[in-house]
Amino acid sequence: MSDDRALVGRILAGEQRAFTELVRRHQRLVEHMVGRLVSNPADRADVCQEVFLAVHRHLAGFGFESQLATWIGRIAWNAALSHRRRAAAGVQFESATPDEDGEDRLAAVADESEPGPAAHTDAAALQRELAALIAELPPEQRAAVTLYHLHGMTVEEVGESIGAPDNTVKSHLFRARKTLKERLLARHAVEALLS
Amino acid sequence: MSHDRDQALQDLLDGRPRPGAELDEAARRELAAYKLVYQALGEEPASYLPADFAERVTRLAFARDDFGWGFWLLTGLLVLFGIGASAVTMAVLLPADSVVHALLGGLSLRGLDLAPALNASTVLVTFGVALGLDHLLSRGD
Repeated sequence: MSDDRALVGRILAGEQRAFTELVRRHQRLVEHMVGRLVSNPADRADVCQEVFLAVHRHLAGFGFESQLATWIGRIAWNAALSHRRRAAAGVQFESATPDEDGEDRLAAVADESEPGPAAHTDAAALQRELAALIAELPPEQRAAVTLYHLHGMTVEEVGESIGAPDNTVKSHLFRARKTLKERLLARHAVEALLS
Repeated sequence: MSHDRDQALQDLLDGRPRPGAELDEAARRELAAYKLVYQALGEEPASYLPADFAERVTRLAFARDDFGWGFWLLTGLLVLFGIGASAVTMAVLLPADSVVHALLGGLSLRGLDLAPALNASTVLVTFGVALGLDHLLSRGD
């Protein structure tokens, strides 16, 4: 926390290199959040840039009430949601599969890419399949599992980032994992998965 | 597949095993699937940002921050022309005995209709300001 404070102090003093360092430190967090929430790959880098410009713009108002990473995660969450709203309103069109109704689309993913026998033993194919299933989860669940599993945030920190109470975050995590497990078991025999 | 069993299995993988909970054969199969799900959730996705992303976004952030004298000069010019054009337009539209006519007496007494000229100038200046601002704001790209 004190390291973050020093870094923010240097940025507010106008030191550009300090901001570059901040971006590098939190780039993966933002990249993962945006990558899992913005379905059109062509828009992802722009949204990431938008997030860090917003971080720079609002940094003076950040009072360290939370972790810097949590605050940046919240900005990334809001920017991704805002992008989704714009896309849904037709301002921007997402060329990839739309994912507003993730629960319904999970079934579609399962049906469309039913793997052949060879895929059962292909670990890389299994990873791709799981990545596709994760991409079809509802946005809140995607954000929760990304922050919790990829970035090691606590349930409380995830809640601060996506603006949800702890119990809601726990519910998102539980439902996301359960849905993925069920989809996986519906498509593969466990023995094949473990081979 | 009960909610309780799913919760127990997730608790186990989250490092919070329930005391005394025994896994039957079906639960063991589900646990194996859950392990794969957890592994996938923790898998680092491939990066899609350019290698110099941090430097580029820094340049852009600070370029937006540092408008400099050019920005303020152009903004000032725009405001001055805007005020002038508005005043002359009002002088044309309002009755001859209005305060605006008195204020713009120097212009109207010469018998020239300066409103169109000033409005055209405003458009040109606005265009110039827009170009200038665009240059200032995008120089970090």
